[in-house]
Amino acid sequence: MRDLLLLIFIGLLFGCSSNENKPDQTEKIEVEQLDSLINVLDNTQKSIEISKQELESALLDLEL
Amino acid sequence: MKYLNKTCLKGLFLFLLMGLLSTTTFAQPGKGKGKGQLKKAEKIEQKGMQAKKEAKGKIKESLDDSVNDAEVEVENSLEHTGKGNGKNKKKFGNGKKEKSQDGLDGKGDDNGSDLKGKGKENSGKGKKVGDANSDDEELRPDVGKDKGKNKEKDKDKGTKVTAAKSKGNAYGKNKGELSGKEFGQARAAEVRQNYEVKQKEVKKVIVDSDSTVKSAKGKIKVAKEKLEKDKKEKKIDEKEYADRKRKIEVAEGKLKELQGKLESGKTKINKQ
Repeated sequence: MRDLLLLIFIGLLFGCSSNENKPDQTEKIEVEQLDSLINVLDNTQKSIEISKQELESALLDLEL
Repeated sequence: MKYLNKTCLKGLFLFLLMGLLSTTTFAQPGKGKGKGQLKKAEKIEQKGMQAKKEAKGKIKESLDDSVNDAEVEVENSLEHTGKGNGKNKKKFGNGKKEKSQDGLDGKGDDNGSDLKGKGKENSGKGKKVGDANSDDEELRPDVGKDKGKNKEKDKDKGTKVTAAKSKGNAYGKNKGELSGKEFGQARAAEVRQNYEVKQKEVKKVIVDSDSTVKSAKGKIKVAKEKLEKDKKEKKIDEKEYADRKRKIEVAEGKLKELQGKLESGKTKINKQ
């Protein structure tokens, strides 16, 4: 009986240690969120740059 | 002795069972913490990927089958006709080669066209294989004329396909020497750094655009004043006046658009 309990304990330890190497779920979620935020910022940057260029060309038209 | 064996076996079984149970139960820390939606989404994604893989496998199998059939039939026809042996084999070999270059998207491009002239059955088979991709139709007319060009094209195609494949989100596939957790941490750190860099970039763009907005406002004001002055002094006719006014209105529209985008950009950055 004592041997069995010991084996169960060792088995649990083995299971836990094998689980340690798995990537953290919260980290994964954070990465996904940051990726989507980066995408949002990227799109914002691009649209601002496009508008800026359009405004500059419109101003050039005015000066001509 | 028997008793010892029994206990050993029992112990081993329990050991493996506990190890397995603890792995499966601890592997899902997200459960019961309001992360069910994420899990669902992941499951759906996995299902989609599986379906995609299955579809690809089926396509590949069908392509392989039809290519093999075509090969057998070509060999048969060659044996029967006893002509054009070297050339045909060579051509067929090319088709195969291209297929292997294309990987999963393998089209067996030349099979359809090369086999076309060698008998109705062959051409039919070849078409079947070729129909897997519409690009084949572009290549078909040139097959006889410049085979070399096609080869190059297909080589480019192959490289493009592999490049596209390698571009996909292969998160965690090429971990190198890192373990799962270490890889996750490294990736998280990389993404955080990327995010900070992007934030800085957007802030810089916003500051630059703010100065552009200010100077644009000044220029538009000056242009308006000059226009009115020219009109009063009758330096310009109605047509030119209308034209210049329209340009000013366009510039004002663009200015408002940029201002709106800047505002939304600022709020996005402040929120984050």
